[in-house]
Amino acid sequence: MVSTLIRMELKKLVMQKEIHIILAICTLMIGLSQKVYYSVEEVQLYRFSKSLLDFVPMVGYLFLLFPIIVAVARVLPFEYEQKMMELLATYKYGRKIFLLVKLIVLFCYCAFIVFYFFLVAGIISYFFYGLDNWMLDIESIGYMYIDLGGEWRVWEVLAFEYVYLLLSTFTFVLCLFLVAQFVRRSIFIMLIGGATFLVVELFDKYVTRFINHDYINLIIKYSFNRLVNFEFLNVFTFPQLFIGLIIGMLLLIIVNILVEGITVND
Amino acid sequence: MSKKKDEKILHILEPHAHIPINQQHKESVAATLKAFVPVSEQSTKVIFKQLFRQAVMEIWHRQKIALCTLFLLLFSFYLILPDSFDYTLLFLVTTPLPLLLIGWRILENLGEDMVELLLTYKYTFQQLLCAKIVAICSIAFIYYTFLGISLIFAMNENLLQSILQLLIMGITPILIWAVVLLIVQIQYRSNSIWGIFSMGWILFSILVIYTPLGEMLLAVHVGFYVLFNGILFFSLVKLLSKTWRLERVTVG
Repeated sequence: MVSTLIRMELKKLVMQKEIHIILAICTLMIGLSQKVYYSVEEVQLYRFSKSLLDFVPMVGYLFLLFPIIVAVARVLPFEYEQKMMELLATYKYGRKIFLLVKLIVLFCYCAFIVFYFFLVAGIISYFFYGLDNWMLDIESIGYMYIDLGGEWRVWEVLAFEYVYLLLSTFTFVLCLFLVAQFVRRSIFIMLIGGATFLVVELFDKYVTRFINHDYINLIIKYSFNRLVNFEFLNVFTFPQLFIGLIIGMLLLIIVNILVEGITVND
Repeated sequence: MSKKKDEKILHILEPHAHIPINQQHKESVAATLKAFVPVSEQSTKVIFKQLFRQAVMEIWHRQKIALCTLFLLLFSFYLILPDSFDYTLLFLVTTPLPLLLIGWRILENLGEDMVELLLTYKYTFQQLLCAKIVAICSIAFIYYTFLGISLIFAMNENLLQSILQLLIMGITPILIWAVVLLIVQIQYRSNSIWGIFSMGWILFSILVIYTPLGEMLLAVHVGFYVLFNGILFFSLVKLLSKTWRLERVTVG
């Protein structure tokens, strides 16, 4: 039963033109940003591995959240915008299953987006440098953006980055989903999601130069931007972060399902 | 003999000499003829002027607060920011802001729910859209002029060539946005698409400011931008004239 619902919901998401457009824009941006780094970087060994591993923490995080914001903004208000809320009240499986299915679909979408970013970055790096050895020790690559400590191989770091990004982006999805339950129009959800990201980014880069206030620094330190660009690893250890994210996600899922958002059209 | 005959004939014809004209019949014939005669329409120029004025008034009436805030914000940016700040990239990123800010509102009252009502309008949806796009572009160009002037004052070096290059480069985003706006609004007629394009521009501006991409764009020869602007302008004019002549959107 649930698998059919998930399939239908996935189909609904994939059919949206907005998703295609934002993916095209993101692909273009990944291409541009990768191109920029190739022209700047000095010649060194194992550049494929290095560029792939450093891509998301350095530039990729700037636009990783955007396709996700668009998906959240299209998944939840879809029924409202199609004026189907009254029809939805007759939904056979109830509101909780309905929201849960949407969350599962968004989780799959997050997994796809993170994979897609690595894939595109990997393909572009491959065209420039060719492949490296996946079993390579990261000590031999030299300086990396994330400092993990200990002995790690390239594929292990990649897997770590993937899991970390999946968890952090899905936490962001859950928070935005909660907001989206009270906001009716997708364009406003996009604005709210984009603004939470952008305002912190602007404060981080420009405003803190002029105003150095403790509260502002605190907000920036614990923002989603810092979570996605791996800066949280400097504050917490990975087990702490992992457990915290899982607990946070579970709580947010429960809140999302229990909260009474907009149910029927006015 | 013939004279007598003529008189006789005249005598017979006399009661029929003045055939009374049936006014009602005359009017109905005139109305029928008029219905089939091509009606003289106002010229495109007159309609466009009228719609353009209307669009500017509407934008000003509904968006004046947004536009004034944007104006103040931009100029305070240019005045407050320290001299060390790179104005060139800021200029490139901010020129299409009026389009970005009010572009999505163009279709707010012309969405898909309105298709049937739009059929009763005097002018077609496409004509209204063309006039609105030209109006927004004009507003963007007014901003561009002011920003350009303040940029010239803000830049301390007397590098005329680089300022000229910047001014040419500043037109490119405005034209790109106008073309995208026209294509997207005709194809999709949905506000959420507009949000995505705004996000795309924000992504691009973040990349331009944070990464060396901005310097790469500045390093491209000015001739390329002149050519690109020319192509964009030509395609915009062509698209506008094509859109203007489109038939009304029919339901079903």
